[in-house]
Amino acid sequence: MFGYIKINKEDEGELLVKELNIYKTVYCTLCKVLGKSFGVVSRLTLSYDCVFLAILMIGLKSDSAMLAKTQRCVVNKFKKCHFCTSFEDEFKFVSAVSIILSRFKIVDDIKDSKNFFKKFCSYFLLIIFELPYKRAKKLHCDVDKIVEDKIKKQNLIENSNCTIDESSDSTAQMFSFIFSKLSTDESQKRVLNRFGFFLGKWIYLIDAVDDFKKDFKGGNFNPFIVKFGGDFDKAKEYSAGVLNQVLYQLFVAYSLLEIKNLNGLLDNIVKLSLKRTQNKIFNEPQNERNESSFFLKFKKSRKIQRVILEKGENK
Amino acid sequence: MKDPYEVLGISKNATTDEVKSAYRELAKKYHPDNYSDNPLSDLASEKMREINEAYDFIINKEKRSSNSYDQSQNSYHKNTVYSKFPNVREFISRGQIDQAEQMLSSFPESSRDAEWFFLRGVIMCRKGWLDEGFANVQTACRMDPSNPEYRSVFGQLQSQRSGNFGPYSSTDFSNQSRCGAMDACSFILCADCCCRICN
Repeated sequence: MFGYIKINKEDEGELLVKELNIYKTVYCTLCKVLGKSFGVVSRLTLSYDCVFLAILMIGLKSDSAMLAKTQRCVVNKFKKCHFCTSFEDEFKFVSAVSIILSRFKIVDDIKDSKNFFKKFCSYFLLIIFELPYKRAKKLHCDVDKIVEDKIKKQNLIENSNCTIDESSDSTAQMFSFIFSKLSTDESQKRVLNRFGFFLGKWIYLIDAVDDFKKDFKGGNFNPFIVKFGGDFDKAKEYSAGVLNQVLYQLFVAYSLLEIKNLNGLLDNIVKLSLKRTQNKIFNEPQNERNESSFFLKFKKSRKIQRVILEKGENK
Repeated sequence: MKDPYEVLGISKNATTDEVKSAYRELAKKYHPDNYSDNPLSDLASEKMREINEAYDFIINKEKRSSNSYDQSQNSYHKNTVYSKFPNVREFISRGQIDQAEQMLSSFPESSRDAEWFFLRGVIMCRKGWLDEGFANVQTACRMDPSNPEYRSVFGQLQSQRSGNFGPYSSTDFSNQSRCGAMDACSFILCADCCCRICN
């Protein structure tokens, strides 16, 4: 479920160099804060989604510029990175959210995986994450409570035959709650609530589309399999409509956010990148792409060989 | 009042054309059509009011007759139509979605007509259950194809699903309503043809 919210670097001229630098700075700072406040292993939970959360939080907070200093990277001592020195509370909140979400993902993985080795690895991760998780829980017990509650509900729902909206509701509400904590203003809270709701819904559904074939083979739950069986093309066509509608509502809510800082970067992520990620997943499914490119290369090399051979014969 | 130039996002010495284009851009963004069936519609209209005020302030002398978007009548509950479920509509317009949903589901299955499905669709959309909302409005349209209210909401939802919005689209938000009108025209044309054939 992680990694669908990223910046759009592919469209030329859309992202400024300074925006990319800020993105990198936030990424590095989050990594550092994770390690410093919650223990070294918690750095493993770092994801682009949490970087987005941090950027949105900073963007909503104030229009003062981000202060940064240059230091050596915490992981690779030969690399130099920029670290943000302001917005400490914001980074701490995002780190805690990141750890809580990751911890519940591991618990979920243990339940879902049938492979013994994978299960063993997940158990191992769960044990080493126990301490960071306890620290995060202490700081933001309300987030922990909501996440736990929603994941329980999700598991109950997945056991029954449910609709697309029912299955995505838990994730949507979870995000809705987390995002509404980004502001103290009442009307902004309402907007963030709705924005988070549709972002969570979008992530859940895009993940379901992305994993359709894998879930079908493995017999896992997927809302589109419940509705369409194994008919991937039909599911794809239908889900495109659903996801477009979710994105529309997401954009509309986003326009009402009062963003004071980092507008360009946030616009890039919300307005361009989400749609791009969606198009990418719809146009070329990952597992198929790898296969076809391998076979194409193989075929091409055979063809070239044949051409060379024929040329040789003609001579 | 906020600084009108700040509201429109332009500099103090912007030309009239710049003011106009900035206003048009923002008005398109916060147009009430984009926020129909959305619980945030009050915030959007607040924003719209701010933009209108700022624009009025800057271009004081010029007449502004056709541009005031605020008066557009798109909200379904503003139209006074005969309704079998006036209380449900009242709850929806007040934003009490949970009550509206409860009340609607208390009606027995025998009385569930096109309007029932339409209102359920609207409630679901407000709640964020977009897929179910779409399916319900679709059912309403199938049961009563001639109702303009259902058709206009259905048209809006359909254009949202087509993905023609945002920076990747060729058309913009404001083209939605035209779609419905075109449909109606083609429908009348077809009906006319049929009549002629029969005669």
